[in-house]
Amino acid sequence: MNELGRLGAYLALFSEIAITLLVATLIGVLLGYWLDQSLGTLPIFVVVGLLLGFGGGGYGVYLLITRFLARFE
Amino acid sequence: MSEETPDKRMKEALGPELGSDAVEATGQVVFGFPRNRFMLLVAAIVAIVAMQLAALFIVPPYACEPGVVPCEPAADPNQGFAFPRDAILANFEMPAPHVVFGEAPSADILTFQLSVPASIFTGWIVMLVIIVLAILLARRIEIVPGGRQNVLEYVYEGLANLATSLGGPAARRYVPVFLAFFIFIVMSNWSGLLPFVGRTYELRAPTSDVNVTIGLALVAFTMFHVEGVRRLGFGGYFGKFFNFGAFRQGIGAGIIGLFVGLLEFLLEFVKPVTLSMRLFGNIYAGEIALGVISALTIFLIPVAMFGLEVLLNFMQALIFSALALMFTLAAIEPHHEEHHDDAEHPPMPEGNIQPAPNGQAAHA
Repeated sequence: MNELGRLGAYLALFSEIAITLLVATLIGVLLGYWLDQSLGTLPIFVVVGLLLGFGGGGYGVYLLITRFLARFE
Repeated sequence: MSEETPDKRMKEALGPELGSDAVEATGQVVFGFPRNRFMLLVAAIVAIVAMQLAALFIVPPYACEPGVVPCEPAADPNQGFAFPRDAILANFEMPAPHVVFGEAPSADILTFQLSVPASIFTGWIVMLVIIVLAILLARRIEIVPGGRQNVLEYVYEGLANLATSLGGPAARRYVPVFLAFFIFIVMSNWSGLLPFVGRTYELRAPTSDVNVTIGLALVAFTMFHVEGVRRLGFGGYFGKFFNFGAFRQGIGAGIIGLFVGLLEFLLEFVKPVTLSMRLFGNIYAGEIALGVISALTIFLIPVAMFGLEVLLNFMQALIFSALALMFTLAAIEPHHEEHHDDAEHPPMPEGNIQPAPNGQAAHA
């Protein structure tokens, strides 16, 4: 049972890594797009949002790995 | 890998020349597949084919019906059944669930209309099944457990051990929530694999509806933060995100600390999105894949797919509940500083330890 739990925990972590990157980037881009639409500066904030979202997602992945792997071991 | 297998024993008994032929001829069947199990498999295959042939005559594949089975606009209902297209469309389930009681909600984002869709209705049935099962199994609890109570204790202890093996002793407090999430989600996921769920207008697997998974994720999201505030206090919990203490180490460190904390705060809102979207995506896609594959192929392929779905649905329930548990444990952790643990717990010396005269532990 514990082996199954460990497998589940690793699967959870890996899928969480992928989805965190995706969702954070998407949120950044959508917020940037919304800002650009309201300000009329189309490409600027999309690019900024993309970079910030991806960076934030990367930081989230770093946090996930450092905190959760320490708990599994 | 020096185990005594039947193959090896047979080779030893017959000698090198005869042995290999004999093992090739019989060993595989004798060792890997006992005769009665082989017959059982053949019987199962015959039964599946017979069932599929019977279904073909009793319930012929239906063409699209406007309003019930989705139709392409160009498809003509009088045209008859066109194999790949109509078979796929007949098994294709739209993401929005049917409304069972009440009126269908309007397309506005913010409305207040009470209606019960098929997914909520099936969710109630799933809850009823779980509650009735739990009451039946937990009736007349005794110190020395009998048959029914053994089943309940086996499930509870197995899952409780799983939770504590994931999260350590701190997780013991959250075992009931972990269990509730796991059992409800796994039963909901598996309910979608019953043949009539999804094909009946009033029934649909609860977790294949995004509204239900968002609801579950919001419950988990509320739990992380309420437990965090309860354990660390309001200031202690939100101090993890808005860390003004870093300004004591200088303006630059303070700004970086504040920015990192803000990023962590924003990442908290990603958690319910990832939890709900993963569960919904996996279960909904699994149902669609199962439906379409059953429509396009017959015989063992849908059965294999079904077996895979049983396993995947179980894993998705485990993943959701394990993540909810671990996010809660992460929320109740006090704010972590670098080398924080080392200061509290000095490294323990290894080997045999005996107390030294001055009170310090020393190697023997």
